[in-house]
Amino acid sequence: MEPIGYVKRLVSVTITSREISPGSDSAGGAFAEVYCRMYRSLVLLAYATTASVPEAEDIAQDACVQLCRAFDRIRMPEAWARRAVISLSTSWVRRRERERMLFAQPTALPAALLPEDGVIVWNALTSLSVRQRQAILLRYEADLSEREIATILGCRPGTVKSLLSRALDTLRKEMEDYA
Amino acid sequence: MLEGAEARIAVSLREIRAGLPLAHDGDPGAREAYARAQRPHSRSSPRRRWSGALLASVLVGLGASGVAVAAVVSHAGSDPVHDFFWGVPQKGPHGGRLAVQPSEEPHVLVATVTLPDAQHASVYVSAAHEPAVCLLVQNTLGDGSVGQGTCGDGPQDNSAAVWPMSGVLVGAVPDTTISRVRVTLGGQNLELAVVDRYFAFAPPDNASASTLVGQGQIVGYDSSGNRIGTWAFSLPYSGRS
Repeated sequence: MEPIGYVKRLVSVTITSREISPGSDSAGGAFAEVYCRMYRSLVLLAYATTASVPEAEDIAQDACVQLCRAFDRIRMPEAWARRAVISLSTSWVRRRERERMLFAQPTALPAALLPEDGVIVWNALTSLSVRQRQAILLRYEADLSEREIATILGCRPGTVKSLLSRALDTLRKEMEDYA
Repeated sequence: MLEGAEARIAVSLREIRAGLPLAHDGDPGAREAYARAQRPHSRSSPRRRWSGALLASVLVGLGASGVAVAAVVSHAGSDPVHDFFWGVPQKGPHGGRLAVQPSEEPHVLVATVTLPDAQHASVYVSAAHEPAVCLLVQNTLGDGSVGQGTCGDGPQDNSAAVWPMSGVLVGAVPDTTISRVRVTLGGQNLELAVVDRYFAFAPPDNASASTLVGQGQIVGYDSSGNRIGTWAFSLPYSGRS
């Protein structure tokens, strides 16, 4: 091809990128505050089921999108979001089962990401059932009461007590073994 | 007050939480979730809608030549750049991973594909013409060129051309110093970023890229705004220039 003449100098590149700020209204600002406070916690909760940080992050983001849409109508957004993560994680597992690609246990997080004692604790967590892992995370990472955990997991407080008790027994033994 | 094993678990879990490598953390992540929530039909993440096509293209190239090759994927969305950030990072069916970072250009993202055999390829993402997002995946392992045959029927030499691929139009210019082009086609003037000789854009007026007929013009500029050259092109693309 041959040059075909002079054309006016390019001044700027025009690409439309819509900026939406959650802080632009009061509901959005409140949502952003909740998001920033609990997003990592939601990812970790999802990770306990998915064993994949990207998948866990997808689930946490989807939960936050749902939360944002219903934010004005929700009385306890944090509990609502955790419940959404549990629900979305369960759906994810079912999809994976259908695809015969289920991860039976969470794989190890990269060692570089883990604190020194975290390696032992996380490896011990992989010996628990998904339900036990979720209960442990809600209790010790999110610092929730048994009643709050029961609301999120959709079971009775007595069931949570039993889940935590058995999980702790297993964890104590596993952590001793790893140590 | 927690003690013993319970305290140890609590401390470790909070440290793990703090160290998670997340793509959507903090205010940017909140803005993204907020933006998605405003779209009534955004029921699943954009990543799930089209990542398969991208990774399939990358992997097909791997199978054919042993190295990563080129692919262009179009994605219709009202907020393409934000949509694409949602795809960070992702894992392909054969273990390849994709991570995306913003570049200095507001509309260009640079991504890295990590392939199962520890090879890498660069992925250039251009929000070329809303509502389309076009991706150029370029091999950086071999000779640095986009793999032959992987950009459809694009030129095999360093010539200027525009050709259809995967529902969008892909363009090439012959000079690596060109960082911007103005493309005139069908009454539209598009100003696009160029990454390593390549750019991509959606057909005007929602036309089909594969059946589009017309004549256009590419004007290339360097990063200082100096005009490097002007080239004409015709569609349908008829092969090597």
